[in-house]
Amino acid sequence: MIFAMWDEVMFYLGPIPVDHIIVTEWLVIVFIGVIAYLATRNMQIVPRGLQNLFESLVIWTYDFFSQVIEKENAARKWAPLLSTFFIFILVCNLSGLIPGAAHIGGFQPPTSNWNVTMTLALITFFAVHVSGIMENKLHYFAHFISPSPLMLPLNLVEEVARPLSLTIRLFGNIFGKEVVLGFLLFLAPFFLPAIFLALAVLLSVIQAVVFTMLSASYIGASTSGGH
Amino acid sequence: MAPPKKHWAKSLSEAVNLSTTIAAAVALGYFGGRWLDGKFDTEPWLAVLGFLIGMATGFKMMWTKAIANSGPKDRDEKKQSGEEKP
Repeated sequence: MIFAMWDEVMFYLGPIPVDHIIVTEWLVIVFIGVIAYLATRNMQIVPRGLQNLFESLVIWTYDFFSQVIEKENAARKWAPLLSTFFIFILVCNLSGLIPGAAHIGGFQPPTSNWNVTMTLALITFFAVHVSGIMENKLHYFAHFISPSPLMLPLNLVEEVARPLSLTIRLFGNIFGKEVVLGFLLFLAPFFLPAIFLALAVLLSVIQAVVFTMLSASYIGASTSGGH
Repeated sequence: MAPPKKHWAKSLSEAVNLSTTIAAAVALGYFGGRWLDGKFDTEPWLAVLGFLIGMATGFKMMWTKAIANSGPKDRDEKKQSGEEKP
């Protein structure tokens, strides 16, 4: 919980300051990496255990993003990035629910900091334009003056508002969740927070789904020739 | 004919997204205008203009979403009543 905010620097890597959020991100990356390693270290033709689970997940995500992006080849190209977004954001959101988070050094949900959410939103922003240019070449830029050149300022504001919206929504929801849980634990340490912990898990999943789905639908719109 | 069914996750995302994107567009227009006002010493005109552009962007996004989500039935009815060009 975010009651004790850990924004201060933990240590320095040469001239680069490393704070608690970066350490949590590293832990999340290591956690996902270890799971991925365990799932793929001994690949069998007939999958079993973790390999089986992950193969099903990969097939499901390809089908899922094919429905949203519509273009099969674009979906296959961008599904790894989108799946990574989902897993990373979900684990980051849930990392705030580990007992002692934000009280133990190096344990604060990274998505409760807008620098992290903006970085993810900027990756989406560039992925949308890169995918649009890759699929439609220079015709992609025609959507900026669609349906009329007079709409150019509105279309430009919309393009910038999208990553801003992605940033604010994820940051606001996760930061809000942490603050509410922190206050509740302070006011009523027993029973009551349990209900909100369940809601917090739901919120974490919904926010990960929303971010990933919006990124997929933006990529889908840009690859189909316009927004 | 009913509108084509969307994936639940896509509908949820669009619903959650519209409110924050409209707010982001208005905020972007206003603060962008205010920043330009400071640069060109034109206070408050560019902030007002930016705010209006942000609002117009919000309405445009809402309009686009409403059109995209209106089912074939709605469009067929409009065509028959002559409201929409075939």
